[in-house]
Formats: sequence, structure tokens, C-alpha cells
Amino acid sequence: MSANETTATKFISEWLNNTKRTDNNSAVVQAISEATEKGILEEAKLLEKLRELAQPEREGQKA
Amino acid sequence: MTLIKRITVSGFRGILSSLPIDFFKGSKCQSAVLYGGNGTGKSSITDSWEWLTTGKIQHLAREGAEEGAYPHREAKQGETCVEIEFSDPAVGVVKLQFDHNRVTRPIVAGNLDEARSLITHPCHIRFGDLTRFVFFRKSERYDALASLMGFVSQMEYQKALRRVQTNFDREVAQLAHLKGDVDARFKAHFALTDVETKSALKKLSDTCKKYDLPTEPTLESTKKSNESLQELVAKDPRAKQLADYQLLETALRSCTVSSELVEQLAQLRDAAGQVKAAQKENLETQLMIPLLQAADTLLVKVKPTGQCPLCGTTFNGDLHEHVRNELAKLRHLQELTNTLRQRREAVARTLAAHKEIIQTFDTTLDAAKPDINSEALVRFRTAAQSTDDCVSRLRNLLTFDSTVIDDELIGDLKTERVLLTELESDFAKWKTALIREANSRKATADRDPTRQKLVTDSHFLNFGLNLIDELESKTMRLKRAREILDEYNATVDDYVTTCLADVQKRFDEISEKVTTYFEVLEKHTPGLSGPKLKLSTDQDRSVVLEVIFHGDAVSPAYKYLSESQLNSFGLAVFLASATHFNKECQFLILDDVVNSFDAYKRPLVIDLIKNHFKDRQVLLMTHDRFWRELLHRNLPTWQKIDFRSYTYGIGPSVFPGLHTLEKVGDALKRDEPDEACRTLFQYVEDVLQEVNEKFECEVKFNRRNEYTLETLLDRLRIRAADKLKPDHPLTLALTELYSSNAYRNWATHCKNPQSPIHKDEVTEVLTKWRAVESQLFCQDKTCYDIPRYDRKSSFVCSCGKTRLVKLVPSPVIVAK
Repeated sequence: MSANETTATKFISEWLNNTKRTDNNSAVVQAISEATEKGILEEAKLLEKLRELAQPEREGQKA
Repeated sequence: MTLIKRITVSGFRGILSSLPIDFFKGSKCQSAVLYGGNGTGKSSITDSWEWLTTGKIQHLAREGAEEGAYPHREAKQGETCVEIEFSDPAVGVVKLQFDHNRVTRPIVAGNLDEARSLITHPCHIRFGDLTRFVFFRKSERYDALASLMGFVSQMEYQKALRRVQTNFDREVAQLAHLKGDVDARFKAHFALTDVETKSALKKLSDTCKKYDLPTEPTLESTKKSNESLQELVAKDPRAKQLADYQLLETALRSCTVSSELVEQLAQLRDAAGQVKAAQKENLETQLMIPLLQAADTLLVKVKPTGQCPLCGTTFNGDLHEHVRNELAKLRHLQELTNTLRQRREAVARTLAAHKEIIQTFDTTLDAAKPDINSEALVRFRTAAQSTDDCVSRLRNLLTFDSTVIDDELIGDLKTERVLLTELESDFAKWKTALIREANSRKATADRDPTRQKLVTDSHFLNFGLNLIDELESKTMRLKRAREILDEYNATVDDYVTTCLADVQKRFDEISEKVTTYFEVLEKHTPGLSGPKLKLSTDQDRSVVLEVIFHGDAVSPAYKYLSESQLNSFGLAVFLASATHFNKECQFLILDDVVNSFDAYKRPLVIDLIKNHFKDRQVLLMTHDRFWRELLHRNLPTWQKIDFRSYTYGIGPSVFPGLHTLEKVGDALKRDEPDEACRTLFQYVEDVLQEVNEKFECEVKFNRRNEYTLETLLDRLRIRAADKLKPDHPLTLALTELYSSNAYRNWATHCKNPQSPIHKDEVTEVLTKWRAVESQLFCQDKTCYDIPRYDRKSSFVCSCGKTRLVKLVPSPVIVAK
């Protein structure tokens, strides 16, 4: 991982942590977090997670 | 604070044999000037630095050249490596070796993480980075800035979030489309104008009432009544037969092909055909649009003829006219491409909404087996299957690369459209025939109106309940998906806001330095100051430049700034970022960054380096011989490296970069007086031009590009005698040179190479010229500047340590 990525990773990680705290463990933020590795977003993985969240049977959980 | 002691590159890009570049001399790490003509391998050094410090070479990646393009074509496994020796012992030597088996995972030796943690921002810049900064549009300039200021990854993350947003948004729109389809069927089935479950249940309840079934208008109660009614039908074979025909009719009516698809395909094919006809080479030529737009503004006053410097084609007449025509053509192509994209999306939406006919038919019919004309059913199924296959092929066809429209695609679109037209007709024909037959069978199977009513009511009830279930399911799904989308949108917006705030913070942190550096570079431009970078809030990623122009804030700065002034802006931003954010690494690579600067501005780059980067270690690369001379003269303590030639199977030939006067001496040693003569002539004339300017000598202007050395020397001699008196050491040295026979012969030889010149005469001129220089240049190694006339009575260098003054009775050089 490059130094530039280290800076970006730090920024992204801080943003995710702050957002998680603010949004009280939002499943969407959790999905973004799980699809993020070392500051890089796995787009297909995130889209799949959003599809899963969008299933009505999951409505009981907080979005 | 770390410096660089040595960079060694081998088997990488244009360099095959191991090429060490030493920055270490004595006990110090020095800055260096690396000179080499085009294609001698200079930029391979910058690429190697970027690879080691960031893991990727961005400018190659933008062109689609990934890691596989890094090794020299002849390099074998283990031969492609970059090694950097840092002055910081905690880092030491770090080596990256390309692995041909795992091209994205180089083999690392040394403390790479530690090295990279010292270089948190890009500390290298190429001329191309500045060019991108100048010519790109707002959002693209943001990308260029990201590269200059080191927030590329942050920005890429934002782009990725937005792409997912677009895709998910499209999927939710598709769910809404499907919900709309259910709504339409619901309204048709219940003969309602609105989608109201309560009204629908009431209608179902009314139906149950006819058969003395429970009539509570709730879903649960109606479902129980439905089961009872279905049992009633199942127990009566004739009613069952009638129900099967009813079900068949419903199944057939559920099978549809969009009536818009054929027309949409025709429009798509037309759009593809127009794009193909309009494209000159390929659609990527549209990338020229921003460049041409900039040129359209800049070339108003330029009227050369011949070859267009932008696209390389020959043009007749006015260049501006030519650029406007090219721009108009490309804009037209862009419009056609947009139309193509819109039509493709329209077809894609229709195809996405297409429900597989066979599956729909079988599912709806369920277990019912109506007695029906088997041939008609077979023909219907064949047409339905062929239509499904055609839709499937069209889905694949829509994945075409819109930058390469070929005849095959246009042909395929036409073929499928024609086939679909035939299939639609065939399908409609057999569907209608079967519906007619089902109705006919229904009418003749049993004429008992009570039984017929029972079957119709049971169908109304059963399908009505299915529709209510489907409606509820689709509504729930859409509602849930929209909630998730809304939340995702808000989250992405929050990231963008946070990101923009972070970028603005970076801008603010470096703004003072940017102003300082820009104002040094634009010292000679009256009325221009106060450069600012401002983020646009109307877009995700956009930045506008602002400057103060004669007291007024001008935004965007492009209204008034020339290309070179914008380059100054870009260079100032890069230098400010690199020095502000790289607290632990003092190294900078400037790769051919002064290309758009003229002879007046280049010395200002030297001023900037000398006055603001004296504690930094700089590797400055250039292909420009005159710029190299200026650097050598003004930065005497720097290392000088020359790439003299390039051999494919080896790489550049590296030599110590000799000062021009040393080269003259070297040529004389090799008994090459002609070469010495020529080299000395170019050099002396260059220096005299600069001195005459600084001394404000009166030189007769001539428009002919002819020999000026003698005039320049003569006017300088007169100026020195006038301002410093004839017995000033500088005047004496100039007179000594000017009046010597050797100079006369040398000057004549320079004018006319046929006239004879002896090696001893060149040696004498060289010696006398060195005597002139010893009086001319400030002897402080960090300055080495030519004193400038102060408009009073003396000549002062930029550091102020050397002052040439008229002294009475005898002039002397006074050192502070």
C-alpha cells in the first residue's frame, strides 16, 4: 500500500467511524464499511449488500 | 528529515542496464540537474520513483498501461528493479523488484512501509501534470489537482460510491417499473381507477356473498372463502374444465412483448449508424473537446497556417477557424454519442422489464391442463421461446463498446429487429388464436350460466387475491429499496461534504505558499496576484481558479491567464503541497516543468528554487540545452548529469554534466578546435545577451536573425567603461578580450567557418573570457548571479554580496 493510500485510508476510515457513531450503527454504513478494504471500495460487493438490505424481510432491522 | 543518496534503476521502462544516479557527494546529499534529449530515458527515473513510492504509475494507468508495461521489453525475471538509498538510517536501502509472475505484487527488500510513510504526498511532477491542470474542465482539473496534491485515492473512493449509487438507483427504478405493471393489472382486474386494496377486498367480499361464504372484507377471511370456492370448482369436472380454459386465457393475456421494442431497436440502430458515420478515427477523439475549447479561446489572435498543433492535421486558412470547425465536428459527434447512449438506455429499460414469456405462461397456468388445439399451443410456445431467445441475444448485444461502433453491431441490430418484428407477429397471431379458441371452448364446454358464473367468480377471486399479494410484495420491496437508497444517498452526500471540507482545508493550509510561489513566478506580470483555489459547491468534484487581476478578483482565472501563467499556478500548487505535506522528505523531482515558460520566466524558477527551496533536495530534469546552461551557471553546487545518447538494449549513456566552458576545454584537449569554437560561441553569445539585458546596454535592434556576438561585446565594453570607468577590472577584462587578435580571428571564424582558426587562439579566447566571467558573476556559490544595473550608479547581484561600483580614484569589487 502506498503512502498516498495510507493518507486516504486514514481519512476514509475516520469518516466511516464517525458516520457509524453518528448513525447509530446504520446497516448501510456497515455495508460500506464491509465493502471497503484499505481505502478501496469493492463496488460489486457493496451493490450486493445493498440488494440484500433492500429485501423486505429485513425490514425488522434498522436500515 | 530524509534525503536521497542514490537511485538505481534497471530493466525498467526505457532503462535496461543498471543505472545508478548518485546524489551523495562528500558528506552531503546534493540536488542535481539531469539533462537529456527526448527519448533518452529521463522520465523512466520519475516513473521508477512513482512506482516505488506509490506502487502505481498514474499517467500510464490513465492510458490503460498497467503494471505489465513497467519492465523494459528485454528485461528477464529479476532484472526489473528500482532501489533507493535514503539518508535516514531507519529506512536505509529500499528495493522494489518486478515479479513477472505476479505483476501487481513486486518483491520488496528493505523497509518500504517506513519509506512510504515519509512520503505522504506526491513529490514528483511532470510537464504533463501541469498541462492537464491547464487544459482540463472544472471536474477534470479537480482530478489533476488531486494528483498534484495527493488526494487521488480519496477522490477515487468518492467516484466508486457514486457509481454504486447510480447502479442501485437504476435497480430501484426498475422495481418501480415492475410495481407500475402490477398496479395496471390490479386496476384492470378490479375495474378500479386507483390502487386501493380496501376497495378490491370489498369487491371480493361481494363475490363471496353470492355463495354464502364468509364475507368479512379482510385478506385472511377472503383467502378462506377462496379456498372453499376453489374446492367447489374442483369437485365439479365440467366447472374444472371451464376454469382451465379461463386460466389459459389469463395465462395467454399475461404473455406480452413490449410494443415499443421494435421501434426502439430501429432508433438505436440509426443512432449507432450516425455515430459510426460521424466518427473520424474513433470516439476517443472526443477527448480533444476540452483542448479545442481552450484553443478556441486562446487562438483568437493567432493566425498561422499549415499543420494544426492540436490534432496534427493540415489545414487551410485561419487556425482559429480550423479549431472551431474541429470543435463543431466533435461536438456534433458528442451529441450523436449522447443520443446513442440515451437510446441504448431506453432499450435496456424495456428489456429489463420483459418477463420471460414461457416462464410467465407456465407459472400462470400452474397445474391446469386445458384441452386445446395442440398444434396452436406448440406454435405459440415456439414463437414465445424464440422471442425470449431474441430478447436474451439483445441483452448481450447491448453490452457493446460505445467507443467502437462497427458494421457488425449495426448489422446485428438490424437482423434482430427484423426477426423480432416477425416473431412479434407470429407470437401475436398464435396468442390471439389460442385466446379465441379458449373463449370458444369456454362457451361450448358448458352452457349452464350458473356454472359459468361460478368459474368466472372463482377466477376473479383467486386472481384478485394473487394480485393483492403481488401488489403488497412489490410495494413492500419498493418501499424498502427506496429507504435504503435514500439512506445510501445521504451517506454518500455526507462523504462528499466531508471530502470537500478536507480538500478545502488542504487548499487553505497551502494558500499562503501558493501565493508566494506564484508571485515569484509572475513577478514580471503587472497586476496579477493573489491566486486562490475555490471548490464549487454545485458539483461533486469541481474547482475554480481565482486570481486578483488589477485589483479585481477574477474567477475563473482562465479569462485572463495565459497557458504559462496557469502553469505557474499549477507549479505553485504542486510545490506548496509537496513541501507542506511532506514534512519528513525533502526530495522533489521536477520533470521538464518549464516547457511553457519563456526565457524571461525561467530565471524566476531558479530564483524560486534558490530562495524558497534551498533546504530541499531537487532533481531537475530537462531536455532543453539553454535551460540546462542557465541551471548550470546559476546552481553551481548542484550535481550535473547528462544523458548523452540512448541505446535500446542498454539505456541512456550517462556522463557527468560538464559546464560549457569545461566542455570547451575538453574539446581543446581532444584537439577539436572547431567544436570548441562553436560551443564557446553559443555560450558566450547567450551570456552576453543576459548581461546586456541586466546592464541595460543600448544595443542596436535588428530584425534579422544574424550574428550579434560582436555587437553585444562591444556595447557591453562601452557600458562598463561609461558606468564603471575604463580602469575597472571588468572594463579591462572586456577590453583585453575585445582587442586581442585571437578574439578577432575567433569572431571571424564564428561568422565564417571557412576562415582558419588555431587551437591556441581558441585557448586564448577561453582564458580571456574566464577573466571576464570572474568579474561578472557573483562568486558566492549559492548565488553566482550576474549583477543588474540598479538605476543609480552600480550593478548588484540578487544576493547583494557583489556590487560593481564606480570608485574614485580606482574602482574595486566590494564584498559585503
